Amino acid sequence: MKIKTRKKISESSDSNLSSDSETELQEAFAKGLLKPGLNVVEDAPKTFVNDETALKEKLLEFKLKLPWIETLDSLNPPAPLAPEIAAQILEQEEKQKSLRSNNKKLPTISIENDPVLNDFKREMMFYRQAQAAVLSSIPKLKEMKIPTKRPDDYFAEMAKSDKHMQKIRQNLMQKQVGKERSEKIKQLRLQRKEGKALQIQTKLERQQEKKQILDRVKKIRKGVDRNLDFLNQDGVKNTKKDGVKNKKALEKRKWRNERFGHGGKKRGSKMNTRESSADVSNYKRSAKPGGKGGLKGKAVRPGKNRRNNLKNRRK
Amino acid sequence: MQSKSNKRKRSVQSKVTSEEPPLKKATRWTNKQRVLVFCSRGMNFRYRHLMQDLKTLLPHHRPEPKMERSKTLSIVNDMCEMKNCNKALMFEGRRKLDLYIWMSNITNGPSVKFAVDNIHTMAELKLTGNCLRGSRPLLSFDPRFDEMPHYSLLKELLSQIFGVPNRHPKSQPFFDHVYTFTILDGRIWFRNFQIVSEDGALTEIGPRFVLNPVKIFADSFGGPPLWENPKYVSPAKYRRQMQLSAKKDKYISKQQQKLRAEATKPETSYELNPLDQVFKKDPIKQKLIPDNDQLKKKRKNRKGNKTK
Repeated sequence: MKIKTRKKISESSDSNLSSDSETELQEAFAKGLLKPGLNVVEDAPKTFVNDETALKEKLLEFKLKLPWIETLDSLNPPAPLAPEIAAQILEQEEKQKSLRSNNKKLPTISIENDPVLNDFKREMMFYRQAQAAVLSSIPKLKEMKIPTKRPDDYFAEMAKSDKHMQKIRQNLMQKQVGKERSEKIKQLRLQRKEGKALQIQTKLERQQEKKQILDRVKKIRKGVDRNLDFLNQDGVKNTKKDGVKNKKALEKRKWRNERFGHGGKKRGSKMNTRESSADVSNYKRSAKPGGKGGLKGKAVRPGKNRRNNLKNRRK
Repeated sequence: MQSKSNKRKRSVQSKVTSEEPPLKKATRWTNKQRVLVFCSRGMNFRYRHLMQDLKTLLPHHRPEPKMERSKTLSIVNDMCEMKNCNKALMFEGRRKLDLYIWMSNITNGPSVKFAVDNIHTMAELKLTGNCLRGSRPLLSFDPRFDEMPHYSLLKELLSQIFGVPNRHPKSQPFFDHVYTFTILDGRIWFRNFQIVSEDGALTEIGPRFVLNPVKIFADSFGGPPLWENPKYVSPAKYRRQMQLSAKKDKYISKQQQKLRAEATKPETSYELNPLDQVFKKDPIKQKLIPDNDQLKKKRKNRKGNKTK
């Protein structure tokens, strides 16, 4: 409740005790307790109930006095840190560190304050507490000769349906497949990168070679150098390569030579001779113009001009 | 039916053979807890799912339709008596945003009101465990539950509600899951783990939630308060504080930015050598307004032309 004193004064002036309160206020002002301006009434600090004796009594009143087997409750601190859990925590820590170092956009937080890592550590604490409970309670149950583990042939309704478990399994599989795929893609990318680097290297090497040869040629032209051995070396290489490459072409040449002849006189070889002109075996009489002979059965298609004219007439 | 008749026969035989009072059978359902699980109107779907999960985990629960908001809480006591229940677990939703859970020991109390947050239901796919429906859980409590009287009271209430009674007809005989209740920054964190192997390998089943105790009352749904949480801030108030602080922060940060800009402002924007400007002239100005020397030259030329 926050009340301005002005309001208070106006309220009190309406009531019968107005003069009293006013005089009180005046006295307070005179003493220096009141200062000009807005005076606000502050709340008393809230007190929180904590009735310990009543709590204990209540607890005694409704507490069950039953053997442990009826309730199965236990108080236990977290189990000692197993090495595999410690390894997991370390792994998470490294993962988070690398994430933060690789991504500059993420806010820089020290590893102790990292929320993701802290979440993981907290969950691990709960896990260890549960572990401690299991490790302490199961032997107790075994001592009482109560079966604890479900035999494989005992079937009963489960908390989660088979359909739901199928979904969970599928989800896990999908995650694994995704991981594998991403790893494969990463490898492929790396390979491609290496391949490209190799390509560039060979290209540069070739360029350098070419440059060297050209330089030497230039020197020879100018008369500085007279050694032509390097050209021969390369020439030998090239012929070797060509020989291997053009095996097919050589065969083709051979065949062509057989067919069309190779060497000898070419002039006049296409001229008519007495024998060739006398040979009439290839002669065929041409069909008579007008299409009287063989074209009778076929529909005759007139020329384009005529076709157009016909079309126009129809219209 | 057969088995029943057999039992009857056996009992008859035993009566005939021995006159001693029959020994108390060990296979007795002594701890008869029944929990009424229900909610008021105005619940979120997630909270409803949480309630459903708890129902599947507690074979000793009794269902009940939604309660109207207009009814007073003391009616719950009558409802529980009608249903023959001695515990109540009531879910109360506010604004479809906040969830409160009431836990109560019926007739004589105590009752506790919790604010609940960080809820994950059993349907989430990252919780991969599973357990028999209705098997008895091991209850694991943080050692801090013994340090304060209100925590030990909460422990007793939680263990009575969440512990499945021995030999309950709907329960299963094996032990394949653990509930953990841990106290962290004044809240009680609940987790449910499956026991995969008895040497301590676990997987989580769910649900997960965090109970923030608000108040403990002496009676069931009423009576004088025994304990109040001094650190509790209602979710609505918390949200409002966050909004206000965001606003205030925005203003303050703006002011700070301005001050910082003023403080770190450089005196000269560029370091220029003043001598550079003495000898160099602006080329554009030079073209537009020719210098005195050039003008003189022009004049001379003109004069020379005239004389020629």
